[in-house]
Amino acid sequence: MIGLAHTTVFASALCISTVPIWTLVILAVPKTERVHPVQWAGIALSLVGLAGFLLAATGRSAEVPHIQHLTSSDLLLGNLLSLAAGALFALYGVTNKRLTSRYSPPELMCYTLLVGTLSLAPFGIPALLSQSWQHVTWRTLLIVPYSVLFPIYLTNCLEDPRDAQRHVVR
Amino acid sequence: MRPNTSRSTDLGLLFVVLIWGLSPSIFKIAFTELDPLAFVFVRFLLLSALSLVVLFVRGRRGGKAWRIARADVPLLIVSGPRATGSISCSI
Repeated sequence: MIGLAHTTVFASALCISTVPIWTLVILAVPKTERVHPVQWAGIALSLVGLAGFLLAATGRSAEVPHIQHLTSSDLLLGNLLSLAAGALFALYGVTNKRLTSRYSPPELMCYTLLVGTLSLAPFGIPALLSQSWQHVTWRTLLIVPYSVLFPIYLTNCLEDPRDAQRHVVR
Repeated sequence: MRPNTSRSTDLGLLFVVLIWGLSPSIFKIAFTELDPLAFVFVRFLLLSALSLVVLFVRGRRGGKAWRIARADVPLLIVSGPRATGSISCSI
């Protein structure tokens, strides 16, 4: 969210879509998965394309109509955080492979969310307390339950992680 | 001929892609009024509560719940912040 708040939606989506690249790199380093030289060339090409896009976009500030004005340093921070999010998500997928064979998706989701929410608490509670709620409209309040039910809960139940992990680098 | 279950799986995955594609634009609207960190924290508090309810109901119905192998505890502890951190960092 912090990454998305500092960059454009498209750049953030592009950075997060690097998950398969990070996954392959993570698997290739300990030689868990063999990567063909042509595949490495494909990865390098995609990273060059991504870097080209981000450099071009970071060089100038972006205006998001009616929402916010983003400076080039905002864009750089947002893009780097989004890339980090992609890398962390890849690491999560690789390390969770063992767990997905022993726990059902609802179980795994519950356990990891409880631990994750607790680790977010030191940053989240102060942010929550300093939030000015009187300026928050119903539209935004409706986005909160949407963000819980649709992009995470419902979609994770539909997309069985055990199946996804089998094709993690496809 | 592909079985019907494949078609429903494909439709489900299409729905997943559609939701994941739309969500960042919707969240961006929320950031005009809400601090991203506050938004993330409320989101994950609600999500944790929902997950607990689902797992509780699942356990009551005889499903597998709350049977964590001791050997898996370190991996779950490491995976939790990594998942939440990466999701909350950007998506």
